[in-house]
Amino acid sequence: MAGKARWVHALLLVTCAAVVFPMFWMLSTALKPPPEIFAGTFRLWPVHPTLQNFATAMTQVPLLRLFWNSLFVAVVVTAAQALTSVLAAYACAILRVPGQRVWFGLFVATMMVPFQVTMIPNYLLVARFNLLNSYMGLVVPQVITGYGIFLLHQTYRNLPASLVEAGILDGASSWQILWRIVVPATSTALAALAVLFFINTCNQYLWPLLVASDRYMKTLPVGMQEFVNLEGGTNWGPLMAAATMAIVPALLAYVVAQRYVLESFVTAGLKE
Amino acid sequence: MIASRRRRAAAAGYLYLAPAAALTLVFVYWPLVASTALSFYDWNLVSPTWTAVGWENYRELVHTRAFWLALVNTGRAAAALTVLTVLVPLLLAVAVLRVKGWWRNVYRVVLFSPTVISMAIACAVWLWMFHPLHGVINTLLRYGGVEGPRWLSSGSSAIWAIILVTVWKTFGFNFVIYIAGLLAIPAEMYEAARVDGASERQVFRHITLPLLAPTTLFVFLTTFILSPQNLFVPTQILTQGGPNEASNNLGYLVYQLGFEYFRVGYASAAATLIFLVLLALSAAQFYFAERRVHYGR
Amino acid sequence: MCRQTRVRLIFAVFVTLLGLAFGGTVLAAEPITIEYWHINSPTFGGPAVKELVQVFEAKHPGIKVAEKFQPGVYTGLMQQLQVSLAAKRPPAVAQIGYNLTAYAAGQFPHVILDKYKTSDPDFFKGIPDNIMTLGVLGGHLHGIPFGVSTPVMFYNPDLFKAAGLNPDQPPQTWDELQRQGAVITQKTGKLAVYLQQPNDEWIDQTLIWGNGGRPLSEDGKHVGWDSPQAIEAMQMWQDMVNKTKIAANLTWEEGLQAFLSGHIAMCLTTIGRQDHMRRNASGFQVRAVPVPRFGSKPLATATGGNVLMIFASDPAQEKAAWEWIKFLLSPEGATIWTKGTGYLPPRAELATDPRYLKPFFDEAPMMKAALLTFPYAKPWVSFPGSRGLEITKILIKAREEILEGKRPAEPILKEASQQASALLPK
Repeated sequence: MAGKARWVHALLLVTCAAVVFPMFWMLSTALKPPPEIFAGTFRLWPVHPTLQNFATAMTQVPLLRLFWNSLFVAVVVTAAQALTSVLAAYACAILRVPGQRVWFGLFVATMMVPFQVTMIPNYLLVARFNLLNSYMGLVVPQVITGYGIFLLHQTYRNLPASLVEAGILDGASSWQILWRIVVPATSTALAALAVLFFINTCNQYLWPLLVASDRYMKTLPVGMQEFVNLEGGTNWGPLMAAATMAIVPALLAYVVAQRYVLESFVTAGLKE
Repeated sequence: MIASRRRRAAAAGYLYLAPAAALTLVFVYWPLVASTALSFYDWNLVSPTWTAVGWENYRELVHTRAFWLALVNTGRAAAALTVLTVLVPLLLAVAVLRVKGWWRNVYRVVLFSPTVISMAIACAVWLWMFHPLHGVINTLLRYGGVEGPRWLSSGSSAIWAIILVTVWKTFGFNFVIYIAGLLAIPAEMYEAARVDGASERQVFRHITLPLLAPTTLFVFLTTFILSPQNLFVPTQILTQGGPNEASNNLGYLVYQLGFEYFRVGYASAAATLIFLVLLALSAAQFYFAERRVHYGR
Repeated sequence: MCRQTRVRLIFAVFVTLLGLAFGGTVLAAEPITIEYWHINSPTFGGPAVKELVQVFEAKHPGIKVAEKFQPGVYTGLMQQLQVSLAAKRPPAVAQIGYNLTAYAAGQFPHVILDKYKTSDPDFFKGIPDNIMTLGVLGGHLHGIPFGVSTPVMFYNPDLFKAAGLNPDQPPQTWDELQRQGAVITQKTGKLAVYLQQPNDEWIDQTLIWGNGGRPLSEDGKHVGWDSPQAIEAMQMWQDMVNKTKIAANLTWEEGLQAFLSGHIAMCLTTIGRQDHMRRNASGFQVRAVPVPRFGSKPLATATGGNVLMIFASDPAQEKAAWEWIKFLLSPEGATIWTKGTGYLPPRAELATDPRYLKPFFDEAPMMKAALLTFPYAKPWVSFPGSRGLEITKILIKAREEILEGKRPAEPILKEASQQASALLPK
């Protein structure tokens, strides 16, 4: 038995090393001075680690501004997605407005529509209303979430009917029932969704790429891409430094909250 | 009296529905219709005139090398992703659950980490690793005496580079789902089987796999359906569909036609075709799924 | 006056004062900011652009120039421009490569500059007609030509010496280059030559012109990439990369960097890089000569450079943009520009004027290569019609595939030419 366990560990350790290697290599390159980067020999860790790449990166890319853009958009979109999902799921699952089945179907069906189909008309729409390169333009089209509505609908349906009935008996309005009974009772699902939304929005690439062509309105992933193009292929040290600065906060947050994040993805994934 | 009260209740209910409904109609369904309409015109995003061209865009698309290459590549990618991100994570999940104690958590956290970071930023790192002269992959190959190819600018390897990066980025999600699915299998099932004298392999084949079937199906379906979309970011950053369309795929084609060639009507035709293809595939899969999966059997 | 009226009066006065204050700040001269799009990366004239902006802003305190580098050279800039025009937020001024001038003039809303000929006649004096025509299409002036460049061959004399070759006698024909190149590769282990591979087909056109072909047929209906001369030239390039392995296959920046760090002996690229080359060669003195000829055929090269076009729709922006353009082509501006790049100034007399560029030309031996080439310069052919941008991309992709070396050049070129020609206007 012990021998077998050792094999399993070996396999997993190797896999983990392979999976983590790109991120490790990114950090290693970021700390290497240019001669070592282009040396042609393989060194796992720099001989003379330096922070100059980080300094260069900070001057060539408005990193702080990109961070703020990503953060701001992610927070607003997450809040908006959470809110609209809660309201829509409530209407369909609990209030059961007439036609809710049709609406629910429509909401869920949006998950089937690939973004390639919607991106051009959406781009034209946002351009027509002069919302390109603005936070509004970045945020609003990202708020649709068939997934959130689907998940919450499931969760709400599974609530014991007595909870809501008690509220009605007490004379509470539908609004009060929603916020005083339903949401608190399903807070774990909502929190899990929020984590999911947040991570996904931070990592969004295509929509911000189309909408934010102005350097100072780009989100982090898109700004990184601009950086790749800037020198056309010789700025690897600062590029890796920029990538490190972009990824590290996300990784740190993940490691700290990992149990929570993992469970969010799982809950979201399995509830169907 | 009651009727008007019900009507008022319904009206109130619609208010709750309104935000999601408005957003969905404006940003999903209207574009769907608009895109299809646009596909019958020729427009370059800038000129004030649109020319109606009927089915010309579709006809041209079906005769374009780039389109068929994109289709083939998407198929290749879907197949590879299915194998690599549906089977391999399953094995990894089983392996991780064999391990006891806090090691289990470490492995889980590490293997899931690529999924959390931004694909675009990760691609910048991979771009560096794939560099034909100074990238670490070719440097290591050189130690082994092999002259590594120009991964991203060689027709035969470009699409595989994209697939590799996509696998690396997305396998973690399925991995974690499998773990949850495996954990959901009641321990009594295993005990009963062991009491009956079943071997490890038999347990796996006759208990684990069947009970895992719904999870496996979910993983398979989502991987397959999302594969074109998942390919977009690596394609855009690593190869832009090159060299000479060799790594083009359905996820990238529409963007390329619309925002690199500025043939918006033509791009919309491609988008519509892709949508129909995906719809057909999903319907086919659901149909097969219904017949093969038995819940709780 | 009753209390109510007094209150109303005070309120009215207050509001009026507020309005004046606010209106006043609006009316007060606010600096206008114009966006200037260019392709000059930090290694390709970027510092000169910054210097020009500084000098200009000092002379024109009411105008600020926001200069923006666009990656992907003229092709990339064109794409971004198209997107920005669709979004109704174009730059005020942008550099449009000569090869895409017809495309931009035909597809994009922009300011026709004929009117400035009557309002600013002095500006146009001193710019020779053969340069001015580069911006004229269909009888109208669409853009102001902003300098011309030619390709030259930079080389590393130390590597020639190390290979036992005479550094004062670099190759003058392609045959010589291949011979000397083989010697260099053998004796030093370094690659012999790099032909620039940017996001355009400038060098490709140079090769075609040089071998006696035409990038575009006389009647404008056929893209000349499949002529026997083109096939021969591109096949030669493919063989240098894949068969004899004396040529490098790298992106533009990588190739330049490899040359400057002593890994490649010869580098065919634009004279516009000469300042960067001079400053950044590690341990050797860069020299330059005209590009090799094809045997006994005369020298022929494509003319690089761009026109400056105005895309602003607001009159104040247009005015500021015109001031910027005038400065760029003024003796002072052109001097800064030529020194910082190597582009030949549109005003020919500056080259011999001791106040401006004479010292520079005297002390910059590499510029001689460009001056020697210039009389043989051919146009950088612009593909007409609404699909010009696409044609350019098809040709660039064809080159990528040729250099990859899996198929011979001929079928690739025939396919590309067919595809591209189909996109020309009928």
